[in-house]
Amino acid sequence: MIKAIALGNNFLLTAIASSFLCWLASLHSSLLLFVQALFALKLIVSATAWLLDDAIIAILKIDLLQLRFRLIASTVGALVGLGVMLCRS
Amino acid sequence: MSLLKISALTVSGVTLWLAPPFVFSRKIPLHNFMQGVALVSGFACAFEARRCALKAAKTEEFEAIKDAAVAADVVDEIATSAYVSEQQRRNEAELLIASSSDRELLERALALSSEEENENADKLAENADSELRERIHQLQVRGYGKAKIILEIWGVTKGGSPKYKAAEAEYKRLAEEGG
Repeated sequence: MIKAIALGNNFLLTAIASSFLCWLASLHSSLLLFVQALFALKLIVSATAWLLDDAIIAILKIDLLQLRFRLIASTVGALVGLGVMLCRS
Repeated sequence: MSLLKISALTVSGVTLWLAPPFVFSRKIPLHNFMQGVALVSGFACAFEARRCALKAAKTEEFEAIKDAAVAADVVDEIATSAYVSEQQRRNEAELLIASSSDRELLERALALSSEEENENADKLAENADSELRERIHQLQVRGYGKAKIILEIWGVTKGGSPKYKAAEAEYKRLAEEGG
């Protein structure tokens, strides 16, 4: 139960961070570029980590399932945060 | 308490994340700034909730390990006491067996010694009889009569006393056996 709450809060942290970046992007056009670059970087890092999963799990000392779960959860969290800010009134 | 705090922080985080973008109207002054503050606050709440949850999970894990260790200790103690009682019972049984065999040995030794004593007593009695018979015979050779022989050997004078009667009966028995 407690562990599930901790995992849920991890997801929440990613989503709020993503929303915060979106909020920053809404402040200025240069910040929008910066945030777009950040999201692009995140996408590239996630794709690379997915491809180089064997090396990553050796470095982080976690199993493959955990790595994939983290990658998927962070991507989904970032997309949810982005979606929340795009759908705001 | 910990769970309540974690839940409250999580709910606060979600509220501070979702409420401002959908609830704050653009008519509210500084609404954009308020949104940013709410997002930062929501992030802080979620971060604190995650930290508390991880701490509570670690504590729970420690408690579980402790419970398992206590249970293992109890099982070990029960097994030890069972082993000790079993050993004690076995020792007592061995002692009992040893004591019963000792008793048998003693009884056997007693039986043997009593048989020997009886044999010795019989031999002594026979020896005494033969000595008395010989003495009687010697006194008869000297020409002593019955009353004088009884007086010489048993020390009782002639009369109706029970001692004299017993001595007389003994004298008759020895004389008949010898004769």
